[in-house]
Amino acid sequence: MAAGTVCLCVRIYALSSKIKRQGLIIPTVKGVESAHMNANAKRSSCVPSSSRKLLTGNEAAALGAVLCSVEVIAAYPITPQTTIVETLSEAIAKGELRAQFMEVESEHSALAACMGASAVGARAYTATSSQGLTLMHELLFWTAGARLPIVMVNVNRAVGAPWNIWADQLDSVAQRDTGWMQFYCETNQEVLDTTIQAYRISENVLLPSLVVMDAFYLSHTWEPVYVPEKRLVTQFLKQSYKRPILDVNRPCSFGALAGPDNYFIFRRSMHMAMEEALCLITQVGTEFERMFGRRYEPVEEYQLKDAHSVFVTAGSITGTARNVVDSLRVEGERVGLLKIRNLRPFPIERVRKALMGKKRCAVIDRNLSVGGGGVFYTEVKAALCGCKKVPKLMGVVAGLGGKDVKEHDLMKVYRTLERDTQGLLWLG
Amino acid sequence: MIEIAVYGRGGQGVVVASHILAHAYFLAGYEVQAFPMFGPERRGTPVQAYIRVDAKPVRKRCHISDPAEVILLHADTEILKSLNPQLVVADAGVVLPKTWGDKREVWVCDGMTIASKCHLGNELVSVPNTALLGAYCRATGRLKKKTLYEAIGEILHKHVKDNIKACRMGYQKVRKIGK
Repeated sequence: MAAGTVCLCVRIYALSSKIKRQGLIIPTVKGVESAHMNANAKRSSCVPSSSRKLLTGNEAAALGAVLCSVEVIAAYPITPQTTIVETLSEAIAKGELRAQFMEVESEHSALAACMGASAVGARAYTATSSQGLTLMHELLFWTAGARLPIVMVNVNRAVGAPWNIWADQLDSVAQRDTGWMQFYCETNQEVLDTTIQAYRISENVLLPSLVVMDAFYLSHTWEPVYVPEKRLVTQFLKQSYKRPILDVNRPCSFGALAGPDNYFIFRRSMHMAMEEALCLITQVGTEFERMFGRRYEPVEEYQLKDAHSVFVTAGSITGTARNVVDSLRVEGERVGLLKIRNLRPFPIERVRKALMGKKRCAVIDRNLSVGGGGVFYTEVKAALCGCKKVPKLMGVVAGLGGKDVKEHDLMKVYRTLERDTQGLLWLG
Repeated sequence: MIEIAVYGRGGQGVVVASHILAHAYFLAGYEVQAFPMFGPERRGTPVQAYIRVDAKPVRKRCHISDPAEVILLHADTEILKSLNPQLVVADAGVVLPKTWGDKREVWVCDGMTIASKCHLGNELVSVPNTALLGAYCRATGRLKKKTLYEAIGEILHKHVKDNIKACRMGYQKVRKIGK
């Protein structure tokens, strides 16, 4: 017995010293315990009444919808979104959610059903991906134009041809001009939290929201997520206003014919609602923090204050980029990160404020507008146009169709950026 | 951070094994991230799943190409040649590459036999995932057996007792070879 224990100790020591030699940190029991205790302390102080669960991005999305007590769900399964629909139909079958689940024959019908539900005042939800979202294209305009506050989760997946089921933002960035707000999420926690905030924002400004997460990197990855109490979410979403709905007792119509003059007014009012939404996203994010302990804004600055060089990212690459920023900082490099959460409404002023005066900036896009470059790159470029002290800009097209973007890839981007490279860089 | 990979074939419970192991680490207070090899999984085809374990939240989001620890339910020698793990927990049926030499710690467990003894799977294919998890638990000594059983109970919806039995047998029967 004693010999066995000694042997075990020696083995653990040998293993840990080996791992240490390779620069890996093995958490000691003490280290983990204190980390765990810190997490517990943090939880009790700023995250009241929430439990922590191991969830995939898809489960987090579905749970977000359950917490928001959605009333109508119409969805059509597509990889990698399928488990969202499965989890929701299970939740309804178990009685955890009282909602009407509509099985439809296509994504086009799914959004049409949600539109009908939303028009009579129900809280409607759907989720899709890639080809499914592109099939919805026509109705995306209609939903936004009819000012229906639907929330949809889109799992970012490449659009064919050629056929590809992996992560790529092309499906959602291609819907940029449809009038939907778009939120790009970095973690599963953000997917759950953003779903809740999206209903609050959408129902206030009467524009639909698209909550976006990268295929597999979030959708099929398990990680710990704080799950807030339903009671508090209901309180957070409490409506103090009424929106126009279809009612047989008070007849009105949505989307009737509008002549040139009226159409102009309709579209301009949508633009103004988007501008209002930009302020509201920050305001709702602050309120969310007060209630649930996590803050969200249209952009997030990381190590940016004294930075000369900046990575601009959206989606799950942000996490990897944070690590790269940290290791470059250890080497004494003045580098920072700007995470963009909203493609629409695009936070022009915040992006300007964050990037003006910086020396160089690499905008990383997991998408490609063929013939134009990465979409976030062109948006950032447009936002900075006419400003003083504009940084040298480099657009990086990376990770298309699920191509892995590792830390050393981003290091390569940084080295290229340091040579004052401008224009487009193809990673991979 | 510890990076772990599970290799096997579709139907052996590779993805479930990664889920259970991540959950056990999570219950033990670690920060974790677990994901399958991104793509369609089919019965009989090679399947891989990965786990990252750390004291602080895992932010990195990319594949694991150089896992420090591997659990092998089934794997082609050719695939294994490109890896350089420090710890290997393998089913007795897996042929390890000669090029690996004796530089690493190798533990072997007859997971397939344990699985069929515990009635996991059918006459065509047995499911050795939980037996190998028991073996891994013994090999690393990082997790308590009880935590692993708890994770099995929370993740699996059926055959919980049989799986815990297989896990216990894997823990008892695993043997260290080489080095």
